[in-house]
Amino acid sequence: MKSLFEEWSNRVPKYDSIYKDSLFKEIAQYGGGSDEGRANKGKDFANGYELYIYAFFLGLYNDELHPISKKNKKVDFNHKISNWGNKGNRILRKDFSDIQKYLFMACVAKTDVDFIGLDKGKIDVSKVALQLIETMESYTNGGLEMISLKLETQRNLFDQPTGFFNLIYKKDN
Amino acid sequence: MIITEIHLENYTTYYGEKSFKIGPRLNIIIGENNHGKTQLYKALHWLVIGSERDLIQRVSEKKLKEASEHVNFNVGVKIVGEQYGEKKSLSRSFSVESREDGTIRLGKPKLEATVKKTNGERIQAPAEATLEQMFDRKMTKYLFFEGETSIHETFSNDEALSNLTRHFSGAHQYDDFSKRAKDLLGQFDSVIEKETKKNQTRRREYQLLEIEVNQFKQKIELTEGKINDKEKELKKVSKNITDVENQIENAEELETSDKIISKLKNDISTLRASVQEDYTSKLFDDRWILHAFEPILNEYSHKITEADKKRRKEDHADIRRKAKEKGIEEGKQQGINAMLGDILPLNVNVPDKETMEELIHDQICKVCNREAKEGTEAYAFMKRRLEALIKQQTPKKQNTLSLEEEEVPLFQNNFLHSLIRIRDEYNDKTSLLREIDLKIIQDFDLNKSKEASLKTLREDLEKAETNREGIVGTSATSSKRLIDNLVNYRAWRKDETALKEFIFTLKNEVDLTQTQLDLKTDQKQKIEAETAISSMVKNQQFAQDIATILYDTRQKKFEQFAEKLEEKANDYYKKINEGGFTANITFEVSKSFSGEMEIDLKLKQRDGKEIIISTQGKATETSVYLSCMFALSEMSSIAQNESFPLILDAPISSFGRTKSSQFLEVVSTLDFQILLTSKDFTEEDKDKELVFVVPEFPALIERMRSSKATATWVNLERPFDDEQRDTLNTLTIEL
Repeated sequence: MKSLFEEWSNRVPKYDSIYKDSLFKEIAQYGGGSDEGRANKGKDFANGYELYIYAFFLGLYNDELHPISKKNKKVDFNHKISNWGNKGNRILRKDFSDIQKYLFMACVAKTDVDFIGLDKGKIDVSKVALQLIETMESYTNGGLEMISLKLETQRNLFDQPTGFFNLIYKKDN
Repeated sequence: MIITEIHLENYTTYYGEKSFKIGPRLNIIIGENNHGKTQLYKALHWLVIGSERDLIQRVSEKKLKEASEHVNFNVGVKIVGEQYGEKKSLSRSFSVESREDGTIRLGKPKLEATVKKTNGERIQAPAEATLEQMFDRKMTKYLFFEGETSIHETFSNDEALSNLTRHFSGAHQYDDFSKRAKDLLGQFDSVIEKETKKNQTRRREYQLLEIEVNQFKQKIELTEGKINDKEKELKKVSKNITDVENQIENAEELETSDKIISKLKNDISTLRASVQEDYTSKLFDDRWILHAFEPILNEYSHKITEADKKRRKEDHADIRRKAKEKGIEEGKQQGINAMLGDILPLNVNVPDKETMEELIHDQICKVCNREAKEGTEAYAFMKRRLEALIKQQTPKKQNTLSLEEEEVPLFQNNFLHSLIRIRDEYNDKTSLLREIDLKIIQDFDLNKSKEASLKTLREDLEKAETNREGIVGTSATSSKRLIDNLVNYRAWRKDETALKEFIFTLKNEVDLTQTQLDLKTDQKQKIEAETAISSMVKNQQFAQDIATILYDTRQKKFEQFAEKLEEKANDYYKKINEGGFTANITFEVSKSFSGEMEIDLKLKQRDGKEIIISTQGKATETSVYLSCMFALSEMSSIAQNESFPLILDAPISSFGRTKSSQFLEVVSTLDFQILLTSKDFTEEDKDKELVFVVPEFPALIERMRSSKATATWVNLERPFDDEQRDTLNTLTIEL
């Protein structure tokens, strides 16, 4: 039997399609690609999932749990969580696949899960994994909202190498 | 192609019809300044280029003044020549109409050609095609030179020599073949790609690789183009710098200064490369993004601990309840927790199996730090707990100790178990989270200190550069030229540094992209090899081999031609400068970043030391370039079985009469046609009333007669008003 982590990480979380063009295509190397390519295109994130992780933690640290509006379409970038951060053939970069575990712990910490029901077999594990994914999507959505807002007011903010770092690294977080 | 006659009609100072008889080799047109030499050159150039601008400037003003109302006359230039045994004539002319109201109407220039065939038949020929045959348009730039400066400008630019060498060596012909081989390779590639895409399972993966490979290729091509352009710029700038530096006497001091500058630049590059400012990547690679995670980890741990307690509590109660229901005394399995009564027991896997075995072996409970000798209750307790753990870990079917096999347990799953493991594992790593802040501060501090060092180094570099400029400035060559150069010098040095850095960055970019391209190409080829038909892959390799062979051949041809060219150029150069210091012309062949073959023209001593051409005086510079030009003409006539006349207006004005004579004697032996103008062999009398040919010229002509040289003197008819163009009429006098 798969563990809850395996059930969860085998999924592809989604995000609000309104951010596909404005953020994912704009500041991330959308649809894969090399880090070198990213740097040359002036993109900050080497992968769609990097931006996703960033937005998640940004939302998490700022307590911005905003579920994706039901009116909007959800999209994903076809990349299971279990593949996120794997070194693969990414030149100049390190493996950070252990971040998957931190994402998972955060989702568990912030989701109301009935562990007793789960272990008694009263609740299906896939249902719990889905709950965790929903939490993940909601924090990410909150983070994406923050980035989007920031870009509206300070378009050149992310031209600085410290732009994204500064946004998430506020000591009052 | 040989020109045999030139006819000018009402062309600037050539009033009426004027003719020149032209020999197959050297033809010298002598005359004073403004007597018509350059006008002859311009007329020939116009015939070939055919500009329609400023036509009125080409009209003889004397003719125009004389023309009464309603009179039409023609302005034009015609050459008669021989090519492939045919006699060809080519003219460009336009009509001029003088109207009643005093205005002038100029007709549209017409290009006309006639050809007298080998059988004697004379026909009107297509003018443009005939022009193209008589003067290879691609070559025009290298056939017409107006003044020494235009020769210097053309040949001091290395592109000219490289282009001509490519053209005449036949290397350019391989460009077509290479292109075809590339096309062929492309066709094989697309067949293989098509075949590979049929394989549904790997289609998506293959398509992605295809996109990436193409992106990398495009990027490399683009960057290489940029590198090429920048390298050309750099070459020019470096040449300018070398020219100025050559005027400096205190070379030793300069050398020391250069060493310091070079070291500083090196240090700056190294330090700059070590400043890592990719903070967004560090959020992930160095886990900076987890800087505020500790409270979340605690929240997780707390939640999992609570859930675990709850589960154990329910489990414990369930066991007790079941035992009671069945009236079973707390037996082996239940007995392990008997001491605790209603207190919640720990999981049987705490401590783990290995630790428990160690405790039993050592007969000490290392948790409460008490002895548990064999035979005591404490020892028995530990044994029972270990047995219970082993039982829990044994699959049910093999578990013979189980009392109630068919009984449904309260907890059928143990998802919490893996969550607890994650908790324990990451709680152990809490220190890593706590260190992040410190690491961030250290990283920023390090970059800051590097930036500070960089600033100091840059200041040192600026000082060293100023010091260097001072050395350059105190050079003995303190002419106005040096001062002007110094102004540019500073800018050139900056440009040079910037260009070098830029090229370095671009090359790094290409290297990196190439690595990525190789990787992706490998992956793509692997899929192709697995899915496409092997014969196709072999064909593809075959096409690749052909492309490589063609490329190598092209390179070889270029090198061989350059070698011969160098030999010939030196022959001419030595003859022109006989009796003087010459050094040697060398053609250094190199390959540009984009793979294009290039020639670097240099003047070197026997010991290999370079002599900067531009510092050797105008005459030497001209003789170097003319020698190259003659060598090229000779080689081109061999390569193409066809030669074109060189038309040079005042190419040796800096030579002086003696050197000019020496030069002309050498040039008269060349086996191709040259038209050359010179002011060196006429003089005006004291009153400026009369122009005469200097006495030594007829003797020179006599000496050159055997090599079929001709000489024509262009001289303005007297009297004329030196302030009125409409009084000018150039006469042509065969000598």
